[in-house]
Amino acid sequence: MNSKKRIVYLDLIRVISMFIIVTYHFFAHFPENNINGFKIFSNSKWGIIGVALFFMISGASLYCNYGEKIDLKKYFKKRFLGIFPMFWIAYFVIYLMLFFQTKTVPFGDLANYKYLVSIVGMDGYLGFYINTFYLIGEWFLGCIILIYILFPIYRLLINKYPKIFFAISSIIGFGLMLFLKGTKMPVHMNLLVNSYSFILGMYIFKYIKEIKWWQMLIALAIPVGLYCIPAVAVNYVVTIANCIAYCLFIVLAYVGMKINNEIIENWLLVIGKYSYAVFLVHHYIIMKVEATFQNSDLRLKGTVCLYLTVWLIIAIFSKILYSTNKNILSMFKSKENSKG
Amino acid sequence: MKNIKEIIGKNIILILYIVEFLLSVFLIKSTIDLLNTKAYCRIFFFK
Repeated sequence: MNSKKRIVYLDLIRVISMFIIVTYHFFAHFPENNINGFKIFSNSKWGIIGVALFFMISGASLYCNYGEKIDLKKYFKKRFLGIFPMFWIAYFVIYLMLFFQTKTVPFGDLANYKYLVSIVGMDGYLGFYINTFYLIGEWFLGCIILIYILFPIYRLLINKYPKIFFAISSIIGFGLMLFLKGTKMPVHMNLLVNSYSFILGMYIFKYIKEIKWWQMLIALAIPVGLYCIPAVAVNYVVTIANCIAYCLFIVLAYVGMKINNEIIENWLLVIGKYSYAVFLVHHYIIMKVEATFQNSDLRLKGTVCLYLTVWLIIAIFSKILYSTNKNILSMFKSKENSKG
Repeated sequence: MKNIKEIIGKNIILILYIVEFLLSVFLIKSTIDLLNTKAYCRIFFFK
């Protein structure tokens, strides 16, 4: 398998996981707004599946770029510029919008030093333990930032001790999924549980060079069976959802490797490019739009219309956010170059 | 006839699983075909 084919499947999975997460949030806010719509996606398993796929794809992509050699300074600079400027822009705009709507400073009663938690993108993740100025990014942002910081260590362990590290991380990953109880933070948001998905993505990229059709069929048979199992306990839901995501990754990788259409490849690349911007704005937009449909009886047609409306608004705002971020970064870059 | 109904009734989970699995295989196969069909891409993306 050449490197181009491998990147196409990464793009495909990135786009699919983005759609799963947005669609999950779209239906997740129906009950609180008392919207009577056509529900197909209210199952919390799908949220966990989408996020686990996203962590796996992050692991695979980073290993694709930095697996063989890594310049730590360049790596952290690239991660920093990839995450924070766009997050700060989106946060700042939503903060001002909230101020305009409520005519008061948002979270006015909180201590100012807690802005620091938001600046480093950890407000959503630490929100389970302390009151923060959380607005966007959810728990996922904080978790992926910590995993990005840990990536050089994971990479080193995978390259130096692949078997031992795989065994230890599997034991810790599944052990936590099955037995971690009573923590303030839900199990599926745990740093080590998600690190395991991330690490698996790295391993899959490193070792699985080609997927045969019969391997795909086995990977497909497992999630189909797992999805039918009714899981009552939270730990089992998380374990089953993660296992489904791991198998689904193989199935989608197989599909991605079979793509031989330049137009689709380019479109996957373009949509994937906006995935972070979509991730930042989608939840806020979904909440705001659905709040205007409280107590509505939408049924199938109305649900489809609302879904498309939400996507249209998300697409517009993601494009604006992406372009603004790009322009600001290039402005700073050109200033740096002119100084140099 | 009664026997067939009994067999289906007893193995309904297995039958549902097989149907779901076959549908998934069909879905994967058609997705690959669809992604590799260039005709509709030309319509939608003007290429």
